[in-house]
Amino acid sequence: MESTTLDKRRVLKKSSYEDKRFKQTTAFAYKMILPSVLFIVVFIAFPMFYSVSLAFQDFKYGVPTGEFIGLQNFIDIFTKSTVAPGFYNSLQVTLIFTLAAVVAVILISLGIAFLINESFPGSGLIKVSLLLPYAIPGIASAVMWNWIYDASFGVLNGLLFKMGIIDSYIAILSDKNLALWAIWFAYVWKMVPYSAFLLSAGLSTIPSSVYEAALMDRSSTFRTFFKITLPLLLPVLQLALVVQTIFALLLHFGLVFVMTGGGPGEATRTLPWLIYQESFTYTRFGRGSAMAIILSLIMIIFIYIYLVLLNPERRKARDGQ
Amino acid sequence: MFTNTISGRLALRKLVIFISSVLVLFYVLSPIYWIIVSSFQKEAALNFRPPLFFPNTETFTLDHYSFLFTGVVPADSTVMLQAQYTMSGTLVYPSIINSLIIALAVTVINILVGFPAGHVFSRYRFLGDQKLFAVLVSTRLLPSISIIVPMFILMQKYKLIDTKIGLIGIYSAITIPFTIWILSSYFKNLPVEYEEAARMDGCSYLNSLVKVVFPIARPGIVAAGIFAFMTAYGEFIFATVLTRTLASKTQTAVLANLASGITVSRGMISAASVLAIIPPVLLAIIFRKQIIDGLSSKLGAS
Repeated sequence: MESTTLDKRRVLKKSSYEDKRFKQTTAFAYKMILPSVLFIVVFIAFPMFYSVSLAFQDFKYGVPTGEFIGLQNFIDIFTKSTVAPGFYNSLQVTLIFTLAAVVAVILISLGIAFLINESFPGSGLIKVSLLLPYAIPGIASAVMWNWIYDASFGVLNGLLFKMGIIDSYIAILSDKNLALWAIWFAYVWKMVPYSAFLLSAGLSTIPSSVYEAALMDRSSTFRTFFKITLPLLLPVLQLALVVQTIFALLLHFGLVFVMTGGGPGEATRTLPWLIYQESFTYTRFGRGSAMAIILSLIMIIFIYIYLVLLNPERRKARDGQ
Repeated sequence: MFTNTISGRLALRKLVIFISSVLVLFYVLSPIYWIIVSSFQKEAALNFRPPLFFPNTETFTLDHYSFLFTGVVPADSTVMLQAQYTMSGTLVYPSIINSLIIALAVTVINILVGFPAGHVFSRYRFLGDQKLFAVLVSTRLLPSISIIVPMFILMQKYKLIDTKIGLIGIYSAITIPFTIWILSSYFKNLPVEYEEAARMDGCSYLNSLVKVVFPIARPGIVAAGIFAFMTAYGEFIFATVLTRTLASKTQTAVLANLASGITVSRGMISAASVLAIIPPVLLAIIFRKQIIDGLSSKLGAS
């Protein structure tokens, strides 16, 4: 009897000591993290909440206090005849661009990842070269491609002309069927290296013994890729998909700004560009914020699809139930 | 079939590697080649159809660069070109300096603020640690366009429009989550014994960070610093909305304005973009190992 109370007391004493220790550590840790948190609260969290409140206001630039109008901005975006068609068009352009960009970036970078995973003379040169599109700021690359696509003196036109593919120079960026794909090509060029390094790191974690076993079993290259490489690469591939989708929804903005300004017509007016126009050309801050919230929701839906539906463990758990 | 013999397989492998290497190098380098070549060509030569694919000495000129640095318009240019030159070209060099100042300040803030935070997350368990970490890091996924409107209103309210300080604050907030992420995962792979020994010997926490952790964690800190630098140097959306004059205009804002104008000296704008890409490209080449490690560490930079 006595020994148990003693034990209890000891346990209590010990836990209260640990408790105190834990509280001290917590206080100390928060002190160290505080500056980072301050930056994020002031420059990200607060503006984010402000943005949400703007979305429910009839806020125009020069009108200091917006009137609360509930969901009117959202209703306008989805139903009003002057707003909705443009919005749906932007949504479509954005989704087509995102899908095409993510697919192209993943496929090309997977190919390059296989290449830079091999060791051969010159592989160092390829790796350094791959760093260049990554390092070049987005706007500089936009300027670069803008000059390449130039309708009067561009090198792409010159090249196609010399090879006899076209009879006369074409205005690539003013053609409503070509403009988006020109932006897409320039975008993919800049984004490929990033994924290539990520996927190459993923490939290098697959043990070579697995491949040796496949070779022993006389498995075809095709079969080895789909039965061994792809499943083992899935976690990294998933991460690459998430990151590339988030990037593709946003980072084409500079290219659109420099190369087309959303045109011709509405052919390259993506959602970020529409938000920018609504907010800063027409200074309809309320509606612009509402559109920005819709864009954020689209992003969250994509992330959810990738992380939950494509996650092999969750899928197994769900099928098991 | 020759692929059935071992030497045949090896030869095929070599061939495939060679061909794909050439293709990749062409894909990656040819656009960069073209902007560099264009920046050294006389304006008249840039108007050839089809263009000169390979430069020659006759059309070579340094005029575009000398203009960007000195503001002296090339003597042989037409009146219209002269007007274009003087209108906007003189902003390029100062705006690159602005971008460098802003990016360096952001890098320093990132390391000062993110280093202790990343360390605490990697070494201690405390109340709400994992939740706080998740919240902090997930702010990185936030689309910057979704806070551009409130940021514009707030910056105007606090008189921070067209100031470097405003941009430095925003860029720091955007980059700090990633710095914390990359540093905390780097610290997790470092041995804890050195720090413990230093603390035993009566070294204060901050002192042990500076004297013990910093030297052994240098590669990780360099990587985090470079990612912060590159993000801040290349950011565009905030820069174009929140800047007006050379007090804060960054190279991204100036280049975008130059290029989206319809008529501009193409040689000059090529030279301007070449100048603008030199700082990050040099960093990438010098610190290629750290950057490739950072990009490969499943963390998600940019």
